[in-house]
Amino acid sequence: MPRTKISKNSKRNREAANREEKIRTFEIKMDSVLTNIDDVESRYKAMVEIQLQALTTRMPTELREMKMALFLELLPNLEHFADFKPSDQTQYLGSQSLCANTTTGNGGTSSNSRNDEEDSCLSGGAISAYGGSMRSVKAMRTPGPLHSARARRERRSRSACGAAKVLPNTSSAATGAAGGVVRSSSNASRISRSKMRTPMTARPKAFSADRTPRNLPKQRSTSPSTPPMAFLRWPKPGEVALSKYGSPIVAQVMPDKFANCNIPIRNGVLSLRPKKLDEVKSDLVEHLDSDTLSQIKTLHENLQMIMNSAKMAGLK
Amino acid sequence: MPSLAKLDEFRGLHLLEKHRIESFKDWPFSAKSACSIGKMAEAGFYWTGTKRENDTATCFVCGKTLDGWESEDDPWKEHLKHAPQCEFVKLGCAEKDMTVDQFLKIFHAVVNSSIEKSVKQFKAQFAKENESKLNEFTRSH
Repeated sequence: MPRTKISKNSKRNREAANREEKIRTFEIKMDSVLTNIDDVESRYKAMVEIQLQALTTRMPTELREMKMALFLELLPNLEHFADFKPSDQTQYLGSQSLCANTTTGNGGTSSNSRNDEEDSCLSGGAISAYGGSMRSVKAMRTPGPLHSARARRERRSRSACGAAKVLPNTSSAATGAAGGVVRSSSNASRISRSKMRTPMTARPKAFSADRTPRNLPKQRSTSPSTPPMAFLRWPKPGEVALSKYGSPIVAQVMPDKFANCNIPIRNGVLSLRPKKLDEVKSDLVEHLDSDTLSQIKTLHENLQMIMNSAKMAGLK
Repeated sequence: MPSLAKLDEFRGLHLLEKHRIESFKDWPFSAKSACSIGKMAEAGFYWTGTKRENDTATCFVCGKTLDGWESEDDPWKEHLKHAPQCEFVKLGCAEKDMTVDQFLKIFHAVVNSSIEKSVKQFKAQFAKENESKLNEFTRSH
């Protein structure tokens, strides 16, 4: 009866095979680690790129086009983008049709010198401090019909002006404001806010008639109360927005503390909330033109990119 | 000179002209010569010399290392001649004259090449260690 022949050197063969196998596994593992390292490299590069892109997008144009010599001088005084105000200043100057010096970044004092003749009790520095704080407030407001006239003239009565209170601020603000960088102090902003406000030009505010669900003390709406996608419209300028939970409207100031996405369409706004969406009404989609669609596509890609980078950060 | 503590983190990358100037522990040429420390730093070079060979400098963007400098050499010209692909040379302007945008582009290039360099170094080290482990294994088995 034949039987399987066991070769003499089988043990040696087995050992050799074992060894070969181990070496092969080792090489495979090493290759995979090297590929992983390549992945890490490209991931870090992408991260740097995203961060820098975000930085350039957020940075005011004046700052981006500023020479490094000046920028390095300003840098010790800059902590946030908000510390740098020339873009608001440009807007401010534009609204006054004073386009003589716009983006130089050090036009702080000179741009406001016009006020000097009117209000001699303010020193140049005080004016620049005042102008700085006013810029920040003004920039948020849309220029109304009286805006240019108002900006040009100081109040006749100084009783509410409180200019004297600005003065102690002067030295620090003026020295810190080498190139129009003015840190707005609460004092100065209060003064600028106390003036020049008429009911007509005030920001439209949203009132809600039914306050019961929202009135809970300090309840932060971490999750949206509206459906995942809603059709809303923007209030017209000066319109008082009143919602009775029937047709929600977009408030000028988003009170929501959650991520959302508003898409302007032909006759209103599509507002997306972070909740699961079951179906999209076809008539809403019909209102989207090709431009908006391509914008949504970009948005979608951006969101995807954010998700990817978040995932990457999570994997780290 | 204002304090640039905020950018001190990037000293290792020799990002600022100031950082590059301060990297020169030794340099054979005087401040009056065409390739003084100030002009070298302006053209993007930081010191990578040693006590014995003190005239070696490297570009912080392209990483080109040049030695054998002569007092009348123009650092910008030499940089362009030896590394025409360098982003910094292509821009061809000193730090004080470039815009923040341009600076950020340079910064991007510097960070990218720094990542590449670190990865390359790590890979080389990793491969070397594994090679020796493999040799050890084959010897012992």
